[in-house]
Amino acid sequence: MQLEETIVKVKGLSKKFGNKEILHSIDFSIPKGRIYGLIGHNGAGKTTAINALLGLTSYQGNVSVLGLEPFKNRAKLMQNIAFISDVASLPRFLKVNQILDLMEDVHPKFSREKAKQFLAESDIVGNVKIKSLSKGMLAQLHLAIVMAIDAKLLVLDEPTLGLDITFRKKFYKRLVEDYMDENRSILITTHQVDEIEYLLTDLIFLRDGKIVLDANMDEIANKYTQVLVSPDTIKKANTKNPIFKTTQMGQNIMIFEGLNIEEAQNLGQISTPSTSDLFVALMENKSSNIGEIK
Amino acid sequence: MSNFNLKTIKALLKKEFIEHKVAFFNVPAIIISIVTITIIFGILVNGNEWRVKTKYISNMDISGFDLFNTIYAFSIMGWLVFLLLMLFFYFASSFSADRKDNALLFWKSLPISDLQIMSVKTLAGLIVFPLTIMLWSLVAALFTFIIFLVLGAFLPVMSDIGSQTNFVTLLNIQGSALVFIAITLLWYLPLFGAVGLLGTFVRGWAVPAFILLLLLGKILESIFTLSNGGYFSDLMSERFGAPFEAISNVFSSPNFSTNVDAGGFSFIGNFVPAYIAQINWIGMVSGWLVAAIFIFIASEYRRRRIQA
Repeated sequence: MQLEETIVKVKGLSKKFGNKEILHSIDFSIPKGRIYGLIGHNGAGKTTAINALLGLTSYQGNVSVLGLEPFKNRAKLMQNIAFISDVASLPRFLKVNQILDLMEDVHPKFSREKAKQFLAESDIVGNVKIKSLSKGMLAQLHLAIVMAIDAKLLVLDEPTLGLDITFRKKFYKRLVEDYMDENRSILITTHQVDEIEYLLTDLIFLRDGKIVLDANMDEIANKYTQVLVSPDTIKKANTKNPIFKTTQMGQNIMIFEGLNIEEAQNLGQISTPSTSDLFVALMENKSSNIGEIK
Repeated sequence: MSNFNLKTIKALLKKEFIEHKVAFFNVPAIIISIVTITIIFGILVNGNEWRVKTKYISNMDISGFDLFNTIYAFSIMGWLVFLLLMLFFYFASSFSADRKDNALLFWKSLPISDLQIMSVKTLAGLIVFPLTIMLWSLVAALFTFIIFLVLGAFLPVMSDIGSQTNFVTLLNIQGSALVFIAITLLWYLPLFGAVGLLGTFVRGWAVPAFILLLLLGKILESIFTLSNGGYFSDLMSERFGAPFEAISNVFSSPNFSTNVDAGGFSFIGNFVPAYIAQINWIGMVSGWLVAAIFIFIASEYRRRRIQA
């Protein structure tokens, strides 16, 4: 099927810095038309994994992005990949117009018109040096540049770090409405996971360089259940091996894995756990080594 | 398919120019402005002093036109020294300059390989900046010419400058200078490559590291050979001094006429073959190979070792 064409294929990806292994033979793939969230604590290996996909670092294992081995073919790959690894990474000595000129001349898939459309709603003007832009404007400019590239894979590593909520909301809305289509895939890492939950089609959780979850949102909804446990069913609920337990404002909340819906309903009020709750559940549950949902 | 075409190269050269505009554009503009303003004020404020102190020029057996050409030729040498110094610092910093402001990730997001970027940086150092300085040397010549015209008003011997100077004379001098500068830069390419390579390793410490390595090489060789010279010392002496020795040989040759106004393009026509004949072309080509190796290592280091 056209939509299932794989953009990224990773098998046995490992990365060591000195004696420290950052990634432990991880496997995952990203098909066309999906928006993946790569979530993990600081130091979990998210940026290292992304750098491997982008050809920015060497690695062990098999990585194929758009059919190419990234580390050997970074330049070629970048014709079809756009990425932001740090919002502050634009060269400061150029003016806004100069960077648009550069992109136009250097990147075969960059559209100046699109970039200008994205910038039209901002306060950014062309004849201004990038170094004089505020942090928010800098991010807007970088995102406008990246979204003006007709790429097959967009990689966003903490793209809105340090930006205010209004801008973050606006950016993600625009990403889905103006950029995303069935021919592209997006891989996002962020700590503000609840803000992007609604746009994700798939989730990968990384913990200490290992994948603890790789599933699409439907699978997650089917497999994990959050129950607001009634006081009289707590004992019974505990026998069902919840993967996470917490109390909020005096109410007991438990997250279960693989619990059927009737059983869950008997324990209390059920819902699908939010991405952040599920993340906390799986990160704190040291026994979880779930990997890909089959 | 590679996207490395003429449009890309031009865009990257423009980027290099913008990034290093201060050194190659603003600084010469400031130097010329300061010198010109100082001379103009000198004439305006101390006109009489100037007349008295420059009177000896009138007593010398040279015309204002000859004097202008001599000053012009020497100023080109000055610009060459300025260019060489600036290029040395350019190569020392530009190979690692993309790491400034955390911008390396941006440059790596473009469909251009590290080797292509390093090659364009080298090209900028060999073409864009030398041409910029040559342009400034022409501007300086123009200002010198105007100043001579002004001086001619009260130093009669210089009044011939307006009538004698012509475009062909300027082309003879400027063209010869262009050939000399081009060959000199190509000769120095391995030195530029070496300091560039060091820049990728040690960034801002490239120049001290380069000097240190030269001194170290010299000291180790002296210890090893128990003498003051040796292969390394000779190699470095030749590498640093050959272009200037060559031009000195050309001008001191009895067969070479230094008359730039000998008619048509006879000066440049005599100078270029005479200068080229003085060049050690095996040393030149070997230098290019060494420079290519340095640039390749620098690009590989940038590709492999400079983590995002």
